[in-house]
Amino acid sequence: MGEFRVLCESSRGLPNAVFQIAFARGAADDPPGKAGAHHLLASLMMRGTKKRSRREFRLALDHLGSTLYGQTDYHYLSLVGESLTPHLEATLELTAECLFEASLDAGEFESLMREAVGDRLATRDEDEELVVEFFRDALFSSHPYGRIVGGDLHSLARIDLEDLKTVRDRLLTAPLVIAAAGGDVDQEQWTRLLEKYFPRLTALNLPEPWTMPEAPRSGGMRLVIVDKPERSQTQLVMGHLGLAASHPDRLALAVAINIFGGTFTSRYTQEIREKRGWSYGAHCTLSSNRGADSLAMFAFPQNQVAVDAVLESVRLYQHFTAGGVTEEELDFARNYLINRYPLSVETAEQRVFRKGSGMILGLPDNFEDTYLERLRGLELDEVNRAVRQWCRPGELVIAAVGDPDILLPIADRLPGVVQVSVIPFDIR
Amino acid sequence: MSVSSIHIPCHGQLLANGLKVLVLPAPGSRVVSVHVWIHAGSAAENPGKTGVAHLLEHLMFKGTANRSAGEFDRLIESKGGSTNAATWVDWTCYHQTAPAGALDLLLELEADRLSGLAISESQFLSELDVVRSERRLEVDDSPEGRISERAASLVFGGHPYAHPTIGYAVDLAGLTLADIRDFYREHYHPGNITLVISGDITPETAFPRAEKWFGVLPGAGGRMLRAAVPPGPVKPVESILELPAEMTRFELAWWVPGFRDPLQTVADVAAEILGAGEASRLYQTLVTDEELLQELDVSVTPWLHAAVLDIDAVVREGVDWRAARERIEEELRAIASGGLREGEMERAINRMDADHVRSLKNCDSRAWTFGFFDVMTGDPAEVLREPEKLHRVIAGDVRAFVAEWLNPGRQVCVAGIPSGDPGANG
Repeated sequence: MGEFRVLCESSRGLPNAVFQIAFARGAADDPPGKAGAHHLLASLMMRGTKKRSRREFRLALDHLGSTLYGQTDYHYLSLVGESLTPHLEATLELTAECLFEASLDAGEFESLMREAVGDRLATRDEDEELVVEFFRDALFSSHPYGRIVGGDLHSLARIDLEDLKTVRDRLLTAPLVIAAAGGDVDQEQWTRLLEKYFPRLTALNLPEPWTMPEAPRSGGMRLVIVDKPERSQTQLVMGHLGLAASHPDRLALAVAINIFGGTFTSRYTQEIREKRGWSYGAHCTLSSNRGADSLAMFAFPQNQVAVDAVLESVRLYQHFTAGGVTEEELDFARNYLINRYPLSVETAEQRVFRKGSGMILGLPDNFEDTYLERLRGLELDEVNRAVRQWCRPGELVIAAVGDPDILLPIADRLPGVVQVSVIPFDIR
Repeated sequence: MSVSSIHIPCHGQLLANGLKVLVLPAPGSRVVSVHVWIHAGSAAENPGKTGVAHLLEHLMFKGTANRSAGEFDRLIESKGGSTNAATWVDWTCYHQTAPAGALDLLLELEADRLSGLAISESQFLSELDVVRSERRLEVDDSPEGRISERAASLVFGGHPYAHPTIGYAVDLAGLTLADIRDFYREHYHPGNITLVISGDITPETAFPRAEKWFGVLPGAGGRMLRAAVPPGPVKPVESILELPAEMTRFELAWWVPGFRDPLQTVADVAAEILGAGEASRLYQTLVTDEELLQELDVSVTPWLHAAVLDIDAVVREGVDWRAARERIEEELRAIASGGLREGEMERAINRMDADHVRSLKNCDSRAWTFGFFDVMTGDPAEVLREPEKLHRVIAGDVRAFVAEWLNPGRQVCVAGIPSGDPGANG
């Protein structure tokens, strides 16, 4: 049987509650060549039910003062809502209605597709989004993590209404469903509401193994220039494959990356932003997913120093990888992460969504409860071993949105670049 | 518990030097937020010196006479805290959140930089580059940023609200460390500051600590309200920008009364009815039904002396932006002449009630909300009177507001047309 997990965190201070009904199926499960299908379904489910038109559905929510939206990532599709306590039950009733009785109307589907295409065109004006999309495409290639969650122009053109109906039917048999609530509601109330409005979920779950192929590793550095002149600065993402959330080395690597570029006082931020003033933002992130996602540096230097910023970023990363972290740095980072934990679990909403996220990522049930203990137990050797093994400057994908005339010299000045591509910004 | 019966204790005390302290206890939260509100923002800048308030905000994270550069962030991070700041036209806010045990450190660090900021020329120049980078991100390379900057300048003319908080590029290039020091001296004094402490503390423990660290700051005068009520446009204005962008965008903007005027609550309700959520009047018509727009956003700037009601639109590919603009104006005329549709008021009020609850969710958001109301109204208790004010607004108020304030004769329109799009100028 599939699993149906009920989570609840109570807090009676304010008259409102949040909830999330999350299905463990998302963009990574989109049908072949049809990236965006789960994302579209999440929208279409709220565009009319067998009882109400799209407008009537939205008005019903607004009259309650409630919010409800679909959220999609690579491994989940969830309906996330928030309401004042007296309206929680009515909001859940609407949630169940759009989940089980969505009309998936042909006219609404056509309208949604036109809007989705428009969103793609609008994204071309968002350089920060564009650079991430092209970076992921280059890093993950045909692996599911290379897809755009909302789909691209080519995949959107292949999706029809029948695809979304199939995706919806499969969604309701997802291997894991998490029903989480936080705020002015308790476990007993929450369970009663779930039994009343979502009784079909437990019955429909079927076993299904999760599989996630490994993304291919790179044989050298690759430079991907997204050709978009007339910008005053260059958007940069430089990274390689990271580690799955459940990988045994994940915590050690995450702490190392926190030291390198995770806080305001970290090495990368200090060198690129503080010392040189090259970029308002400069940080490094180890992304969390069921499979190995990315480990990447982000910056947006002005054009005149874009090449220098790339060279310096790579040099800093190489230096970090070769030397690892010091005992003093590890102590500081460990204390920072342990001390800031209360900030991450201050509200019932934070607590319950953290637990839900952990389940979606395939983490063990006691992951949250043992987090601080595992942090305290991290040894310097363990962290530096993770750095040596998983930080791979020789495999960096360097994605840059900007002017090729400015950026192409990177290839000559940076040893180890084995491939250079110049791609028009408007192909996806 | 209903929205109007929410009670959040807020204790206030005025120190001898004129600094106001607010304490918001949240027992059991295990965290504490410290917000320092300076009652001065970009509207307090002098002509040619735009951006100085925001640049000073950045520089406040550098060294002081007692602490070297970087020590501020490092000490707060050592306790697991997070730190940031924001500047807008009427205020500058420094906000930190950390485990409750770090309260003394947060207060000590805040008081230290309010009295002994010490910036070197090289730190100034490096941070100036960072701010220029921020400006390129938010304005120069952003179609929305370019349009918004132009619209504000047209709505407020020569008034200090007209210039962008981040500063004009040309002004940033001319700023000096002396400009920063002048602004700091003029505006960063106890009579111009509200300190908010929110979290796992009690008034009995928080006030003496505030007194210890902030009571020693030398007092120097009271509050400065330099920005008078600006004149609004007396005739319609249209401006078209050619931008390196894919989509056509436009902004319609109107001068409306400021935060202390009861009409701003009506303006907020009008904005909610017009553009908040898929079932709102303009979204339903222009985005959903007629597919003239790709995106729509309606908002009111919460500014003290006057505000702007903005309608920001991204036009669907192939649609004439002027047709979309005309359609918006048609809907505004329909409200002005025929009033609201059934259910529109109730929908807006319910959504805004929920927003009010959301604004009080955690220690940091409470500190923000109460501090903001203190800066804007002088009375933080106004926060909890908001639902009551909101529920007093009736449909006739909104109709009258739209007729009087959102009419074409007062409208500023700025459109951003993709460069080289021959048909887009309409």
